[in-house]
Amino acid sequence: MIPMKTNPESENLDPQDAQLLRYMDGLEQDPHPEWLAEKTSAEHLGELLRGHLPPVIEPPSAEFFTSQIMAQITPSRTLKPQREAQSLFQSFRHWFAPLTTAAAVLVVGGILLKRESSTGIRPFAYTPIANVTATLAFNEAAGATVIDLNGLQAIPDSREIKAFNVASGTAFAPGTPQRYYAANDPAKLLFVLFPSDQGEPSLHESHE
Amino acid sequence: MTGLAISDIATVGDQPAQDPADAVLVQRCQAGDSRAFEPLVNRYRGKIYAMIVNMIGNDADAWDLAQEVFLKAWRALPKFEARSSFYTWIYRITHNVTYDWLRKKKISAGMEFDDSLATPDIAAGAQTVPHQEGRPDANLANRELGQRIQAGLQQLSPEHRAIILLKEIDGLSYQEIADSLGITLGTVMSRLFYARKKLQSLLQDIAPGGTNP
Repeated sequence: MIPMKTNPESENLDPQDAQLLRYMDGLEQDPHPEWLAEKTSAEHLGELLRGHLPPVIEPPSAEFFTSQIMAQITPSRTLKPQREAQSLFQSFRHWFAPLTTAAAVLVVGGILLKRESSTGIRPFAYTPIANVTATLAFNEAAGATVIDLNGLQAIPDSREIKAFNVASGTAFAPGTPQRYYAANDPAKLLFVLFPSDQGEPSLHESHE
Repeated sequence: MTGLAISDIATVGDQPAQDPADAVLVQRCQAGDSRAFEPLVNRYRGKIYAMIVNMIGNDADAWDLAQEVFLKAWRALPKFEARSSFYTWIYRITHNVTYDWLRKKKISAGMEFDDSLATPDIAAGAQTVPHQEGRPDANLANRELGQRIQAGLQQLSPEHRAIILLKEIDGLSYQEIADSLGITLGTVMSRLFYARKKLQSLLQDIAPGGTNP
């Protein structure tokens, strides 16, 4: 074994340690046969790390990830959402990708927008389905933002659609259920999203 | 710094050969074409997100931090002079953003790192590449081993962790690491040498060979 230095943040290794490092990384030929064990050990460590730490992890809702950035850097949008609306969406965000892959589930998400805001965040509409487009427009008369979805398939009469007027939700924590409470009664539990091993959350409506 | 040749830049991100090279897209961005930034985001979001998740040990904040990286990169692109590749340049931004976040977290927690950093949590929607299927018991053992490795990694200083990840996971050369982190070659070698020793001592039962620093 090679003795360790007392100052691990020193700028430069001594020449022997530098040579050992380069040898361990395959940049030097075998200068000292006794270093073979060090090299084997370093290679084993590297294989362990590569076997368990992925070099690429697509972020949840990867397309949305990109569209969010493009919306921020494209200077053509003028509307601004409320921070609260964005925070609520962020709490759903981790559920969003598995939901979009479930063909049987249709999710229509709406973020209420006001034209005036101090957050500086530009609003934009995103749909997880490639041939569906969404546009936003602020309706002065209604005092609300209208979300127009084009390209959606007709919804069969047999499909049950429920809407919840949510005021607040528990913070997202991986692997734990999230509880959502009513807008008109913050103490009333509306529904709970449970995680599952398959990655798709299940929704359980409260009948309290 | 040692820059990469254009031909190298075209392949370093593992993008398909028919896609425009990073350097071409960067030039279009610098000319004001924001649409050229989209393929760069798509090309590197997985690597950047993975690096952040591995650095901070959870994904609860990684999504926002990765967003911040790309927005900072966009704002800084006019000053990018292509002396290093876009790949190492955006890695440098990633590490600055991650270090800042870790520093603020350390200050707000009043301690070095809290327990939540010890094991990684990856959201249900996150997709790792490649995806592997296997027997449940083998998967469980594999997952536990992965958590041990992540826990060991999180006990390293952020500087040592970054060096290990860039060398062992991303396969960067010493010079590319130096470019990515803005440090000298000597510091890269020193940190890598001691980071390995430290990690080997932390994972002695599964990766023997290190000595206590």
